[in-house]
Amino acid sequence: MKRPYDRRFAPAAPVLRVRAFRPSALASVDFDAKVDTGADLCAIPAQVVEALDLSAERSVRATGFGGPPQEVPVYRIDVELAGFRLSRLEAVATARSWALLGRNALRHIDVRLDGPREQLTVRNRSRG
Amino acid sequence: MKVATTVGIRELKDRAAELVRRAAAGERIVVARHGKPRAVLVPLDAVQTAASPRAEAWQRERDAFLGMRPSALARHDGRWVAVCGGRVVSSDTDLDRLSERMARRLRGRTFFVARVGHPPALVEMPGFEIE
Repeated sequence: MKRPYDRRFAPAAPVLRVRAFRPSALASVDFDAKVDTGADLCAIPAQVVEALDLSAERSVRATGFGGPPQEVPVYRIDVELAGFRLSRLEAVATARSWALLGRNALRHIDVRLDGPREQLTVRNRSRG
Repeated sequence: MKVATTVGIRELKDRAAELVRRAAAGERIVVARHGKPRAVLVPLDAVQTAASPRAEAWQRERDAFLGMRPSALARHDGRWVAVCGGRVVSSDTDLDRLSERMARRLRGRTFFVARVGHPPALVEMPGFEIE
């Protein structure tokens, strides 16, 4: 699957459309997630946590934009993106309206970033 | 607890500054349209601190874990534990395996997970704004 970078960001950013579910539930919420290899974990808008009534499990100390690390809850979500289903992914809540696709999700999928062409490719590794 | 005050749209427009000031001070201002309540002005703190029952349950389990005596957790040292109903219900060396097992076994009940003897992990989220 190929997708052009999202030009709402400057510079344009690799963004995927994600459908998130409460684990083992049918209700879902769609949102955009920026591919972020610098993020250890995924981050999802706080409204998604509320809309899906997600459960926290553990907590982590997150360091973001400046300031000391802050202890925050970590939620579990199932996500569908580019034809893949990832179960029980960990994610923290963010005040932003878009999500971050962190390395805990990216380790499961083959994502290629073509900067000069501003194009993102997600490959299904089982099909080569 | 203060009694709610109901205002119409026109009154809201004419006295917006005063009504926002009163709401910020703790008064509940109900906005009605054609006589029917449609919205409420409440202090920002009331919204920010309102927690869902699920979030409150998680906080209770977390508090229970933090209140446990070290001797009660000694045999789990270094392992991940799941706390539900105020007690440790399972442990494992693998976080994801424990999480999945608890989700199956507890069927939607809220539980808290932590690693005994370790502070919460530090995660780097450079593009992250904490909520």
